[in-house]
Amino acid sequence: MLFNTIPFIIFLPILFVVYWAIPTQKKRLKNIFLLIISICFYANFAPVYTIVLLGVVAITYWGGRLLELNEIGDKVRGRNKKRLLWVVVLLGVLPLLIFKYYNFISINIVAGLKQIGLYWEFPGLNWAVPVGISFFTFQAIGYIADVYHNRIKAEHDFWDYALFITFFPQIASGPISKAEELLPQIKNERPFKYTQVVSGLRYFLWGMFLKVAIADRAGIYVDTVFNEYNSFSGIGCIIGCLLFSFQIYADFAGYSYMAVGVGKLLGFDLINNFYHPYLSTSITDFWHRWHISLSRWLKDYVYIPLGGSRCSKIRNYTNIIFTFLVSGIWHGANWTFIIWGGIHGVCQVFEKMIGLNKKSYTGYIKLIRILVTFIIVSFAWLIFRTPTIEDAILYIKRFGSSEGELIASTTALAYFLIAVTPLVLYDLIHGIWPEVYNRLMSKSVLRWIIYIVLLCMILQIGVIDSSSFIYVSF
Amino acid sequence: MKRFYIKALAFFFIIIIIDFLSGLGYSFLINRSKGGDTYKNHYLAEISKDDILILGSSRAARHYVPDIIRDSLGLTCFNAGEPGCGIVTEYPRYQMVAERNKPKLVVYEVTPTFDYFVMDDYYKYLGPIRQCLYKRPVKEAFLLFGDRYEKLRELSSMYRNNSSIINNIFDFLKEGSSVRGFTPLYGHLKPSINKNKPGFYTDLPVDSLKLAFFKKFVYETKADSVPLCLIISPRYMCDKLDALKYKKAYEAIESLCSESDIPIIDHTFMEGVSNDSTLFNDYFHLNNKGAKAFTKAIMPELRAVINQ
Repeated sequence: MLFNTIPFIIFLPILFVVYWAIPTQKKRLKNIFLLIISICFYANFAPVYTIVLLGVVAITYWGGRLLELNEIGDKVRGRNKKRLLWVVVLLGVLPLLIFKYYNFISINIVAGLKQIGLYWEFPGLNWAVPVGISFFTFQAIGYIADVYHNRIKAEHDFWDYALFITFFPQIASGPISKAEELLPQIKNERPFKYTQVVSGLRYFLWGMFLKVAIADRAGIYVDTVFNEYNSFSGIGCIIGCLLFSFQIYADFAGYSYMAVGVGKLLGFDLINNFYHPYLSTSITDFWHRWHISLSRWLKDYVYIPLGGSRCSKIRNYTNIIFTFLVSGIWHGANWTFIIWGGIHGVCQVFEKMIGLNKKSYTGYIKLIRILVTFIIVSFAWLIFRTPTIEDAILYIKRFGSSEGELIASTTALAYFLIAVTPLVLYDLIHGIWPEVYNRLMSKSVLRWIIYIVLLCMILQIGVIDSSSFIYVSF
Repeated sequence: MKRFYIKALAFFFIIIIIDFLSGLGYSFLINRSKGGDTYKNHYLAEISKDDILILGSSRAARHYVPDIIRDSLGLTCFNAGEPGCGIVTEYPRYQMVAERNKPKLVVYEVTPTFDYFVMDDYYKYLGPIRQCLYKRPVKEAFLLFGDRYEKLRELSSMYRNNSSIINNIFDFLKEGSSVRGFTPLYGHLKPSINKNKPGFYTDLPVDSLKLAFFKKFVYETKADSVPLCLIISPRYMCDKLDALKYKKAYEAIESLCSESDIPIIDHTFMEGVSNDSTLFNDYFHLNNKGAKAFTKAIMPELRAVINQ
């Protein structure tokens, strides 16, 4: 059940009323209720894959408990603890490797062996990828790593831990929460707070608008161009590429906002995954604003354990590139995602080499940096979007062509431009003049007008019920 | 919590009022539309009493010139062809017209991918007729092809007019370029862009729901005593061999047509047309010049069907 569907719109108010009807003091009952809802929510996608989800919960819960039993101080036990960590991590990651990467790994091994004259066939695996497996696996592994490093104590309450991993607002497409953020909220009482709930509705509405009115609208246009790029001129292809930048932003940010909104409606504060990413002044800055929970996870559990920046420059650059290759492969089992990650890694290394982020600029130079960053990010998105490297190269080659259609659909483009206007205004005002934004939003009449306009735009120009989130496939 | 529920209900009621007012606004724009898709839908739903109705996909909309048909046969004609659509869109249109006045002839341009092969989300076909959701045939089509929440969605005027505001406003302000529904294409085929001849979709799986709808359409025209003629208009670079290969795409409706005595007039390959790039805008669509040539060429066949 995705957030932008009628079943969820019907389900949410019922859930809200029932949840808040449970007295605040009965937090155990509230948590069990949420746990049942979360498991049913996940089972709605594909019941059999609930086993995978619960398997990861069980492995990492018991892994955390076992790690806690090993105390540091004794050299032998220390080595055992490290071995135990790797066993738990491997077991936790195993479903992800099998469902998502088995075919990719086997195809590439076969291709590699063929190059040296060896012929081997692996049996194919035609299983669908469990929804959100990349997200909940990373969340669980992050927990295990935190327990190992004694950043948190292992969770003893299985039901609380299960809710931490399966919490339905974030199960399908994140954000990836840290145990130290979410577990205390699960364990503490969550009284009804009017401002939090209203904020939740606001996030949900905004997220729905981004997804339904902007992302899906752009998607219609983008699919037409990317499926038939040979029929479009260079400028037509560039327009398609730019629209994809907005599509993926609105799609993913829209879902994240909805997840945060639903969390707030239930009394939880989840990490906000986006902060005006297209106002970034560098690729490094971009990753402080885009998919913030993933960047944080990669920094804490890949980059820093590799040595981070506390090593030689060459080692540091290698760590950055490796981290972003991991980011790329996390997004999908395809060389396009790996190259996309690699581009971001190389750009960050280059920025570090020239000391770009040590200086801050204002005025025209800042504007130029924002534009250049946007162009680089959009170019990388092109590779992310195409199904193969060959398609990406052919698409890029079209940039120089003057033959072909300029606009795929005037109507689709017009609706997109109408829909994207509020997003651009919001990003500019909130991102650059937050005090102006706060002053405007302090007026209740203006707020209500905005809510009504957004909902009307969703109903009138939104693409309703026809597509799923891009990131649900991760 | 009480304050929250009160404000939420107040917001909900404001939206209901705005939705109702939007419905009035849309009705105003639709009833006073001058051209374009808005006028076409309004015309078919409320006005049309034309003798000849052309139905089908963009190959219908671009290939049949109503003025030529009127001048040749002395009968009024309206072209209700809809780009990217097929029977799911066109059968309700026929029903809306037939409720008011039975045509003397219905010409259906068959496009298998849209008419009875598995292709695209059903909502793609329902979108163009959403404006007419207040009419029984369209409501039934939505209930048949839409999901189980369709009845809930239909309660909203804004949903009924989803993705139409721009067209509604433009169509209210000016007449479009179409002439009695015919939307000509101009320009020639550019072979340098489309180097590879597109394939023929003959092996796609049959969509049983669409096929059943198609059958219902055929039976209803028969029950209404309305002559129905299925035509396949020319494609570019299609020779006799290609036309033979493409026949496979019609297997799904061949038995239906023979038992109902409905002729399938196959002009996939048309001498003097199919290999003339000056008559085509692209591989699938004739341009204005090609449409005129094709329409003139089929007049004797249409006359024969009417006179049967």
